[in-house]
Order: sequence, then structure tokens, then C-alpha cells
Amino acid sequence: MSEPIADDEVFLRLVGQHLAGDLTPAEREVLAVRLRADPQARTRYRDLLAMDVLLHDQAGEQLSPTARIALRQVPHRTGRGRRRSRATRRPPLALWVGLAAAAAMLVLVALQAAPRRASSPIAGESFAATLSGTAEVWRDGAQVANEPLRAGDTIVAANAADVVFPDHSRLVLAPGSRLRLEADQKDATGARVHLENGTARCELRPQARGFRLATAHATVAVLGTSFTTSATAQTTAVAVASGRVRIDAGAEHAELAAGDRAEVTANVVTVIRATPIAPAAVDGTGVADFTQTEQWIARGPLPVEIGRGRLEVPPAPIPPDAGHIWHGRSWQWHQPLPATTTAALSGVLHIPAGSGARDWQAELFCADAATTFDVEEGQPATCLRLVVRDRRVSVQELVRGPDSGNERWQAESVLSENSEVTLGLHLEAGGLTARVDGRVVWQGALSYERVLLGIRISRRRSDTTLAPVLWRTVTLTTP
Amino acid sequence: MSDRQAADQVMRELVKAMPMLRGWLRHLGASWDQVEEAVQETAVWCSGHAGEFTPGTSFTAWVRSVARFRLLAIWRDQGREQERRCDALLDAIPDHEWDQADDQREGRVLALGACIEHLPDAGRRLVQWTYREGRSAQDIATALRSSVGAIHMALSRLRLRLKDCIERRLDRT
Repeated sequence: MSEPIADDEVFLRLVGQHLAGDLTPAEREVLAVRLRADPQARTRYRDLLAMDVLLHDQAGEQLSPTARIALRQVPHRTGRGRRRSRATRRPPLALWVGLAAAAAMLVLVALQAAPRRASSPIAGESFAATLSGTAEVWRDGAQVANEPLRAGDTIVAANAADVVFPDHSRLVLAPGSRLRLEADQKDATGARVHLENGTARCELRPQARGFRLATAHATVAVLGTSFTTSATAQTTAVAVASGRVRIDAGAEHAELAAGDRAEVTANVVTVIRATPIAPAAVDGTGVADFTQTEQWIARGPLPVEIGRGRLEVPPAPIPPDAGHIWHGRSWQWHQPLPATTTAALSGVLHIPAGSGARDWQAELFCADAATTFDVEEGQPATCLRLVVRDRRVSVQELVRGPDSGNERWQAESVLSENSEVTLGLHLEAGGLTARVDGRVVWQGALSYERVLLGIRISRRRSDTTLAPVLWRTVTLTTP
Repeated sequence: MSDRQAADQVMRELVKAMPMLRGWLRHLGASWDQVEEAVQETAVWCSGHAGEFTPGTSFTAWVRSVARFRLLAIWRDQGREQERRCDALLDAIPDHEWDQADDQREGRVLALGACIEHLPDAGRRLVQWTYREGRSAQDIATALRSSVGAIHMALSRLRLRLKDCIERRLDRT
């Protein structure tokens, strides 16, 4: 049995409120203080979280049959305030995959024997799925009947047929479709199937995200989404309705978001974005590529030399260009640091000639860990930053609200004509020092208790093609 | 290891870490819808950046840091003031305490069914309303003519009771 702890009732009520999202900030602080101070409370708290997850995940879908019956026996008082059942609110992820039938496959299908009714529970080394409906199963060139499915089997749907995984993920094959089972898993997670021709509707549970469905041109990795794929002999087209998918075609891959489309031809993936999204263009070498005026492509975080951990890329999307506003992205250290700690962030900024100096801005920032970030500009609302813009470097303190802002310029100097400048922020004992090429340009105390260190780069809409601005290296040293 | 092998390995580890990750996101104050969204976004990111995980370091710590940013982005999209939720509780539990693996999850799932079956009617009703129908504590309190605080406390006690029941059943097996 769990041992009682002091202030049990208050603690249990606070945790219950927390899990229901009903805690006030003051109550959250009380809970946090209690957890920090009391290992026994932490154990109890983690038990409560684990049970919350278990109940949420399993209550509606995977309880034993007896438990399902028990739950159904619970009387309802009234219909007032009732919501749709969890199963209804969270439908399985669905995708449709259609393939144009290749002539050779059609001939092969025409030669198949009469369809059978199959229902095969699977175990052991067999392919862990159940087949139902009117379909044939072919193994090593021969048709098999009433046999468990195995990896390598080919299912030919004479009429509609279902392949159901133990996690209740389901592939519904349209008549005439051919599906080869390639790799086994104990559920749809990680399962590999190959749709040789025809149409399949895949209803995948959220946990089945490792599931991969291949066509002749590409592999579609399900990452939790709804989308449609169609293919001809030359091309596979994918259109995403919601969520995201990843497409692998040879050495190329692409991730699509809702509304995006892609075409795969001869291992070339062409992505058509739903909107002219302009997130940052930073590739593996730290290049912010401004040569594409409408589209930046985020290819990964900047290379960083760090004490430990990584510099994270917040996934803030940037909306379509409004014509005059600034767009940008920020990269920040993945965890807040106490302002009293010792940490150093520096970056070498390369500014090539003709980079349109008035139309871009690069900065290092030390933000209040409680700050918000502007969705379009990627800018922390409350921060102290070292900014380079228009061949000038300045130190600014920002305190911005939703409708108003306050920028206090602390220092400013003009850069030399050098094409590279080294910017640095040094945090120590609650104070911050800003350096440009090693020279101290500002020193002051911070009013923040915990800080986020990071970099940001942004640009203003311009019809002028801008040369790339480079962060050559960004170095973050943390305790 | 190829990119795809790395991605496969990361996805396998992610599936194993999923119960911990979901609990951790709840700890940060995410609603269930936000948990689902953050987990999905985390899976997408990890799949595309699998090579950035350094073997030999803590996978769970890595995936938590990824998930946190996904959650922050979701909160940012939904209303900025919510981002602050994260901070108060973020470091209330040391990192290593999240890493205790649950190697009996399947057994817990099975035991949970039996334990719910043996709950009194009132307990089963709370499970039904909270987890199957998604009713709020306020809604339940109104239906039962009780206080919201009492419902929160009852739910916490119910969770602990089910946890103890599961442990006893696992001990017997």
C-alpha cells in the first residue's frame, strides 16, 4: 500500500487539480515547492501521473473484456453535460493510398484462384495481424488457406478485405489490391507493408507511427496524420490533410505538413507548400539563405560547440509574408538557466557584401525564461539582446506586451567594414556582459531569475535578392 | 548506421519512452489534446533528426527536451500566457527520477481492467466520466452535488487505489 504523507488531502487535491488543468499559478507554486522538498511526495506524484496516463490510454480501448463490461454497467445519470466518447473524439489516424494498377499486376490478379474468406489470428514468427474479408493469401508462389499470415505473404483482395493489427490499426484493401507483408512487428508500430497495386485505406492508431507503407516510388512513414497518396507508373503524389508525414524516396526525403503536397518522380521529391511559409533558412553549415524571398527551408539546428547538450530549434512556423513585416526564427538553449550561473554564448557572423544590410538582422539574446516568443518574428518579448543590423551593433532591452513594446537602447556602435564580426554574451552572477570582437560594449545586471540563451536571425520582406548571411559558428558554454 | 536505421532506432526508443513522455507532458501542465499533439510533433522531429541523438547519452532526457519545445510551441499557438505553466514545475522533479523504466506495462494494463472491475460503483463512475467521457471535474461535481475540490481529491485517491491494486496483482503473479 502507498504510505500516507503529511498534508495528504491538500497534496492529493492539488495533484487532482493539476491533472485537470485547474491549478492557479499560486497553487502550482505550492505544488512545485512540495515536490522539490519531499521525495516521498514526488514518488506519490509520479504514481498519480502514471495512473493518469494508464487510465487515459487504456480505459476506452484496451481494457480487458471484463473491464469493458464493468465500465458499460456504470449507470448514466442524465445526458446533461456528456461529451462524445473518447473513441469518438479520437478517431484512429487514417490515410488513403491509391495506386494505379500496373498492367502486369492486373494480369497476375486475373490468374488468381477463387477468393476465400479468411480470418487468421497470428502468433509467433508469423505476421502479427488478422486478415478478414474476401481475399487470397499467396506464399512462395502458392495460395494458402486458413494459415496464419507470415512476413512475405501477398494478400490479394478479391473484394474488400481488412488487415487488422493487435493495436487495432487497420488496412482496408479495395477490391483488386495487392499488398505484400514485408516486416513483422507485434503491432502496427514498425510494420512494413508494400502496396503493389490498388487502393488501401489505412486507419492507424496514434502509437503506430513507425508504420511504413511503400509504393513503387516512395516510402510513406506515418507520423500521425491523414493524407492521400496516389501514383501512376511514373509518379507518386501525396497530399496531406492534417498532421504530418515523412516521405523517403532514394536519398531524398521530405516532411509534409497539413495542406502540403509532394510529387515523387525518379527519386526526386518536389514539395509544394500549402502557403508561402517563410521559416528560417538555416542549413547544416549555419547558412541563413535569404536568396529565396518567399521560402526559407529549415534543415536543422546550427552546428554548435557547446559544453553539453544541444541548441534547440523551436518549431515556430512563420505565416505568409505580409509584405512589410519582419520574419525570423530563434534558436535557444534547450533549458532555462539560473541567471546566477556562468555561461557564455558567442557567434561569428559573416556578412557578405551586397547582403542588403537594412533588410536583415542577427542577434544573440538572453531572455527571461518566462518570456513569450513572437510567432512571426521568433523574437523573445522580454530579453536583452546584442543586435547587428544595418552595419550597426546595439544592445537593446526589450519588454513587449501583446499590444505595445518598449525598447531601451543601451549601447550602439558602427561596425567596421570587416565581413565578419564576433558577438558574445557572458552571463555571470546575475550580470551580463556583451562583447563585439572581444571588446566589451555593455555590462549590466539582469532582472530575470532564469534565462534562455539563444540566437535569432530575421529578415524584412524585400523584392531584392539578398546574399546569405552566415552564422559561421555558435558556441555555447554552460555549467 | 544509416539515417534510416538511426530513425528506426530512435522511433523504437520513442515508443518505449512514450508512457514516461506522456506523463512528463502532463506534469508540465499539458491537457490530453496538447499531450497528443506534442507527442506527435516530437515523433516527427525525432524521426527527421535522429542523427542528432548521441548514443551513450540519455535518450529520455533528449526526447523530453524535444517534447518540451513542441509543447511550448503548441502553447504559444494557443495562448501565450500558458507557456508559463511549464516553468514552475519544470525542475520540481529531478531528471533521473523520470527515467525509471516500467518493464511491466502490459501486466499493468491487464491488471487495471480487473482492478476497475472491483471498484465500487462510485469509483467506476468516476473513471467512466473522467477518462471515457472526458467530463470536467466541475461537471462531475455538479452532477454529484459535490465540490470540485472533493472530486479532485476523490480522483487522486482513486488513482492511488488502482495503482495499489495493480501492484498487488503484479506481486501475486
